[in-house]
Amino acid sequence: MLNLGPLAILNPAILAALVVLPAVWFRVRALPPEARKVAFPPILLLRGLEKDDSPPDRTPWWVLAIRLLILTLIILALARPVLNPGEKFTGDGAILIVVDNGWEAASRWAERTAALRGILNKAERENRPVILLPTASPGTAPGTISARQALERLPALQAMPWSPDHRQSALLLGGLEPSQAIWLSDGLKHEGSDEFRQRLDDLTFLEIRTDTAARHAFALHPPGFSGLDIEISAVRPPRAFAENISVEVLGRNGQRIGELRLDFAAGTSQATGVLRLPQRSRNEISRVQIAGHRSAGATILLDWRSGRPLVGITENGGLDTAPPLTTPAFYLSRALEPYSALVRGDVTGLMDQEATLIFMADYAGLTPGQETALLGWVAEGGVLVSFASAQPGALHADLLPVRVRSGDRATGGALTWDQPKKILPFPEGSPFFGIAIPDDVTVSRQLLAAPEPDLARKIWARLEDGTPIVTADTRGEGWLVLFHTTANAEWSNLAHSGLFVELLRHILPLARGGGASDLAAGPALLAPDKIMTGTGELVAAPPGTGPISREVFSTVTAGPDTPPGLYGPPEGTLALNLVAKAGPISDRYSFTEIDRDHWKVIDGLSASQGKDFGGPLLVAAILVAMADILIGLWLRGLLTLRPARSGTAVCLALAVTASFQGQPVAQNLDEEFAVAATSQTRLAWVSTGSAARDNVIESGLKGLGRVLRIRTAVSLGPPMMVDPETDPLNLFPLIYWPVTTDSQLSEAGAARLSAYLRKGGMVLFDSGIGDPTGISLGLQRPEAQESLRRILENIDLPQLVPVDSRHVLSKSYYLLDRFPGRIQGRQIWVERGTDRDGESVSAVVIGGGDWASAWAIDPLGMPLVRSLPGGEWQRELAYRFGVNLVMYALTGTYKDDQLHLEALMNRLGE
Amino acid sequence: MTWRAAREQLLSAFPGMKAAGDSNAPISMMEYRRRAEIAIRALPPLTAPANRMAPSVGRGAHGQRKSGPGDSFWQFRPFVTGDSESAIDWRRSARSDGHYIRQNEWETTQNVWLWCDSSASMRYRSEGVAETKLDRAITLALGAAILLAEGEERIGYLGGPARQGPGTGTGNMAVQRCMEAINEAIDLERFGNSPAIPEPGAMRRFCHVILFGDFLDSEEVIRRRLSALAARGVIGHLVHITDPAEEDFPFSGRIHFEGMEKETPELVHRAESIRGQYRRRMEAWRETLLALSRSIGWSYIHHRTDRPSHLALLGLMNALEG
Repeated sequence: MLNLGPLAILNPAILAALVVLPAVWFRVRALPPEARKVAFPPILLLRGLEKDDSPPDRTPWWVLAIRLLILTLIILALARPVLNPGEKFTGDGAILIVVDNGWEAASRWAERTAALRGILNKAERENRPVILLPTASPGTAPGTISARQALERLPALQAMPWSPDHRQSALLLGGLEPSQAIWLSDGLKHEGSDEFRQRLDDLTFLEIRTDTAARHAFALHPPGFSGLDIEISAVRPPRAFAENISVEVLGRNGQRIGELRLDFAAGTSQATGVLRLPQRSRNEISRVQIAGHRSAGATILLDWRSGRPLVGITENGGLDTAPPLTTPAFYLSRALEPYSALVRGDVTGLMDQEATLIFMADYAGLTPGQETALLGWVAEGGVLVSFASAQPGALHADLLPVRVRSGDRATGGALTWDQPKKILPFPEGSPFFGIAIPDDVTVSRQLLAAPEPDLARKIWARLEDGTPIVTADTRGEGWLVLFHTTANAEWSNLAHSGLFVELLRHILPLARGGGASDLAAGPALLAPDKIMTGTGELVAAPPGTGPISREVFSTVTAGPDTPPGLYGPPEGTLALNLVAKAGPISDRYSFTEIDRDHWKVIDGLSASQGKDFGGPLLVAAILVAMADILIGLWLRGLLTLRPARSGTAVCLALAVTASFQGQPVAQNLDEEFAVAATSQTRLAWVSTGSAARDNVIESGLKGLGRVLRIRTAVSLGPPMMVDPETDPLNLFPLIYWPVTTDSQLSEAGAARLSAYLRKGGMVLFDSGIGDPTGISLGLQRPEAQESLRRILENIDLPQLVPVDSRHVLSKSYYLLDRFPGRIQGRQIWVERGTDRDGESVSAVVIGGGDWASAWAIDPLGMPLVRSLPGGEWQRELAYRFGVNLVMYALTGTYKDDQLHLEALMNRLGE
Repeated sequence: MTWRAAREQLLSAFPGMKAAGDSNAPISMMEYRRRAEIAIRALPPLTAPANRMAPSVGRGAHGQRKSGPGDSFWQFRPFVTGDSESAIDWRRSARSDGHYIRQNEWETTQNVWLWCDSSASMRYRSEGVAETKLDRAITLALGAAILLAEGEERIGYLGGPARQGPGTGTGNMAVQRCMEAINEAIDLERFGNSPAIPEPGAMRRFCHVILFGDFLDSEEVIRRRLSALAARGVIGHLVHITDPAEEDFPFSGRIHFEGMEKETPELVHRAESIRGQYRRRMEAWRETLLALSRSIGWSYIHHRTDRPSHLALLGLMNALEG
């Protein structure tokens, strides 16, 4: 190690490698950067070109400088410079490092690991052996190992789910002769801590470090469950500042069910809060923990025992003729549902399912054997609640807390003198004590208890005349409870009131802690299923963790021999927690802190251990290397933006701009235009630019409109001229588009036309305008074809196919086999895929018939083009094509069935 | 059977099919034909050749502007001794005192030869271009063949396989023979690099030849070979096909240019710095080719592979016309 003031270099020998840098300089300078290989056929033309750049056959000096910088950085990094290496350890022997790795330190474990790493790094630099003593897992006497070994073992050193054992640790100190000891304390006083410190102090020079006051442990107290409420309380060491923590309640799959904020006031060490959960979530709870301060002491695992009590309701054993919504069982289940898990069945079944309370509301048809079993179950801690019933044989004398007179007493009936009786305030000593009684609760029929000496003791509630309405008595561990009225509304309106729910709810806790029966079934030994780590995580149980006998499970406390976690078969594990009534963290647990002043504790775990910046140097080397690669690529011309790409980008930008420019036009519809276009169904046409031709086309569409009006149900308004560049096309079902040699369509127009076609519009392109009738049999004029191509260039059209006699267009109104206009014999084309039984409708119809001329009429209704080669029959066919086309545009393939019409009619005739 | 083999079989059964995105796969001749058909579809159909084309490349029989064997009337000439009496046109003779013989115009058909440069440099395709120069050359050759066959010219492929025999044919059969010939001739492994300009071969006087190629050779070689062809009396048309990269020289940075026919590589340290020079030189080379072809009465058309095929064919039609 080389010391240069505040800078120390651990591997000075490596610095010798710096002398090779000049050699590298000359070597690299001789090598030009690698050229990109490109195949290029006209290489002959490159011969002897004057390359006006003086060829950089040598790497530019600054590239070289960058590469040398990389090398230098790597060499320096390997030499491991350390800034501020700090004071040296005392003496020259081993360093004893004591770590409190109990759960109290778990929430700050990362800090401890970092501190340990710092100490060990420093020890390694000073070449000092170390002795690691984790106080919570002392095991056998710790050995002296090198700092490097200790660093390797560091990840295995974990916080334990129990407290440090300083007493045991002190025993292990014997025989050790360290020259310095560092104790990373958890800041708390444990059993034997004072003696342990004394021993360490006596042994060698001792340095105790612990967290600063702001960093301390938290622990949860066992939560209290009542109904849907969970009372949660947390403790901290006494601190002068206020802080708050958040307690999470997690479900079985780790989902967060609820969260509770606990506020510690300044100067206090305990905070309490109540979390009310929705009924649905109540049984889902599997874990309660403090968010952000994970430790075994701040984690509570819950098993089915802490779920809601399992309450059984007996089925009616006799013939049940009562309407289901008035049975006692129904009232009971509705009252108990929010607070318990309910099961229904006969008594034996309920006991088998380990119900902790059984409500017997009605005639249950008990056999003597069942009666005995039930008594035994009560003696073991079960709670049996019986109700009066109108059915004979519903009550079993042995299962009642008091003797009951046969027959019942009715008050308030038509044949009685009395009014229905109200309930007196509950006596002290009754579990109902303190529950408010609504005024309107009255009892009109009741069972009467036979007088007996200690009747008063058994009474939990009375009517205003003093007669008992709820009585109870213990049998062994359990209870027998009797309601002297029915669980439904037959004998009183108690079951209608909220009081009924309250009463039943207060009976439920009687069954809690019943104990023995919880653990009765299953294997005798509960093997660990998952074990909690010091930080409260659940991990697979390490081998060697012993099982716990089922009999003693409820009394076992968590500790090194029986680590907290989940025990038993996976389908019904039982939780063993540090936080438990009997456990190390009980209701009264609080933290005891060490006396910082007296112990001369250093605040903060990490003293200056020196800053090793070999790592950052390596990172810098990698960054510079990456920059060098980029520079290399740039030098070889691989990073330049290619003109083609930027060209595309420009086109894209233009297109986007165009679409933005186009949109407002579509948005701001000219209202007048829109109203005019849509008040009637209208055909549209595109101007040819020549007034005479436009006139013919407009007249043609008018003529077609007249034919449609006369012959079909289609009533068209006068046609409108549209400009595909600006007008909204989508207001029209069909656009007649005469294509002349000078037809043009801008890109924006093409986009609009595409949108129109995509949205179901239809265009008839007629390239026959102005063609002579005579010579063009079957052929399009090339010029018209060319301009049609120009228009359609930017429109994404599928392949076109000629229309044959099976296309819908040839049968959508008239059955046609040819489609002449003024010019006959020319083929017309539609999109492929619309020809055969297609669902789709061709968006374009392309032809050269010059139909408008054939259709055109003057205001008097006479044809504008007087003579057609095929005579008036040709004009008729042209009209029929027009009718078919409009029908096709308006109804799509709907008319396709016309194909079969003839066959259908024939069949009907038969 | 592997998937690949199955696809091969399918492709051979339906040569028009071609797997999408498989731009480097060999292209079947049917695919070339399909492309050629597409290219000529954009052209005006050859239905009125008399209007559109010079008599020399007109439909079928070309009048030789003199009497000879043929179907159409050429002239009446006075009977001279030695003429067959049966040749006297009695109706004409009856209108005047002398005897006249009716002569028909001598009609022959035109032979047009096609040829594609199939050397390695023609198989070049720069990034972003769909076809190699050779692909385009074949497409153009087939397009020209189809157009000419429609015009009932006699067509043939120069340097076709020997078994076909020299000579030209008419109609679709001739197009088919051209396709077969091209298919064999472009087999680089069998025939190696073709020269930039072909040997005269079976061509005779007054026949036309259309050469599709990149004509990448020294001016000396090109001139010599063109002269050889011109000396044979052949009327030729050069279709110079270039790749856009060869025109625009879009390279920059330090580049090691390698030829495609085992030329010595050329290292350029800053390619963008020679772009202007290169373009000028390429321009000059085109001018040279144009001048060369002009000097022997040939036509010259330049075509880039990123331009539509029918443009070249249009140009070619114009050239044949003139």
